[in-house]
Amino acid sequence: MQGPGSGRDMSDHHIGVSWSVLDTGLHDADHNMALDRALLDAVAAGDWGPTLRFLRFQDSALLGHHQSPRQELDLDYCASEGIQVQRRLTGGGAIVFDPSQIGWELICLRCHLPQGDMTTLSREICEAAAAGLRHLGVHAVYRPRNDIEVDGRKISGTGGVLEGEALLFQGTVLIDLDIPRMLRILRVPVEKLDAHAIRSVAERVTSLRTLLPELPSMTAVQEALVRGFREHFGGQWEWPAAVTVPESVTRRLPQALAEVRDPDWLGLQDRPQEEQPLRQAVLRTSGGTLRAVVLWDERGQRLKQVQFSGDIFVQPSRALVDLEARLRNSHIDELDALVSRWFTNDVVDAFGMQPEHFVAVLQQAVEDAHAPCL
Amino acid sequence: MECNGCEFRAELYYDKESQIWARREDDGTLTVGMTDISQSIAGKILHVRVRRPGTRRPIGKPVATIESGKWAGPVPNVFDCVIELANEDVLEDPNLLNIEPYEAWIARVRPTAPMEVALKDMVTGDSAFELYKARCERDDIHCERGMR
Repeated sequence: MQGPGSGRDMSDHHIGVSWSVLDTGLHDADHNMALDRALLDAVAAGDWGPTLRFLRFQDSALLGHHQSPRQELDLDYCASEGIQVQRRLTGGGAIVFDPSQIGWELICLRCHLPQGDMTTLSREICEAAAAGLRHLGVHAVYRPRNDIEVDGRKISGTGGVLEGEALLFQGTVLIDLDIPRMLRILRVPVEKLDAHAIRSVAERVTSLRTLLPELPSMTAVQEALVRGFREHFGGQWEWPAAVTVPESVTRRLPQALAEVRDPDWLGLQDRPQEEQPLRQAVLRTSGGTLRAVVLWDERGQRLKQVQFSGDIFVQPSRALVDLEARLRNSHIDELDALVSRWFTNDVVDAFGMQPEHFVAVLQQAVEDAHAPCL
Repeated sequence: MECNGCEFRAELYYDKESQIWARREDDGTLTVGMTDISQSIAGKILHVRVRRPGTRRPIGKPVATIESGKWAGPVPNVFDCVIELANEDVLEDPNLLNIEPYEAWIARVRPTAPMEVALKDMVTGDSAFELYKARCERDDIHCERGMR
């Protein structure tokens, strides 16, 4: 994997780029993934130019490139509900798509976007998409790493792939949200699938339906995103979208489809669920009861995902969700440092709860032991 | 040797963009890894996947893929080879690539052509350092190791 410099290069090579906007419509996950492959290859080969693609999915569960299906999804449920499981070219976590959601993606060469390292590139693209969503009247902002949020709740998840000079970076826009269904499909750190779990997810994820008095049309969402990209990156962005996929892409499609339908593609990473157990612990302190549920990567000794709950009071109100974001994929050895930094940098007041309490409950969860009273 | 804090080891072979390194082994294989430049640009590496041992990988087809900060991507490959071994330590803890990029090798491969042919597009020693330095300076790359 390669990339440009570590700081943002303020050169304006990307200014004046002419972007095609494609709306490829509603397809199943196989077709959409194959189109990603074909578009990226066409752009890498110089057969097609920089593109913003809008896409929609039939019911699907999409794994991040390096994820294992058995570790991330309830595969039996997916099979019984006709939910297609596919693997993305891009990194990041598993997501659920249904026809009501909109996907967006940029497929281009690195020179078409501001220079910088991978973090810079993610930030630039997410800030552009967030600016677009703000045109709809929601206060969307970029939250490292790679999510777009509204008041602390995620509204768009993103991920990218970089192959030589060509890249594809994609995101979702949550138009509507079916949390119970999401909880059935994805393995997320909740104690059990009940009203509390639904409430807990609703505190962390949001949708345009929740935020806006009237749901905008798909076209309005697309137009807002195009505006965001245009204002952020400059250049020409063809709108309304061209409806036809170029020949340089369609001719690559059969081979791309064969690739993503090959069982080796989905089985590319296949590890048993036992290596990624859900663990939990409860800690009682003078500041209240703190509960942590952890999706634990036994092999890599990492906290894949963490969710806190309990009768605790933390200020600012979004601090706990921010801590969860900071802890995502963190190694057990860096726990102390991450929690201390969160407590200090975010000026957290946990009303009697100290950083060591958060560390202790997580360590207990990981060890799958009962936390002592501190 | 280093440039902008990016470590360079003169005894290794490098591709011309200084993305990967290769070490000649006595048994005719090559050990392959990512340079300090590449690991710094990638940021904290969370996943590494190496193709199955026995798989042939022509030039341009990656031996391995990595993921950092939700970006997935191939580790470039500049020689036609067959994969012999993946570094299990790195598969278990991909972050080692950030901590010790020249110790944390990714894979051991056997070139399909004689060694001199396999390495014809790679550089070593002073000429490799010149390219390495040029890359650091051109792209203003500053390296950091040891992140968890």
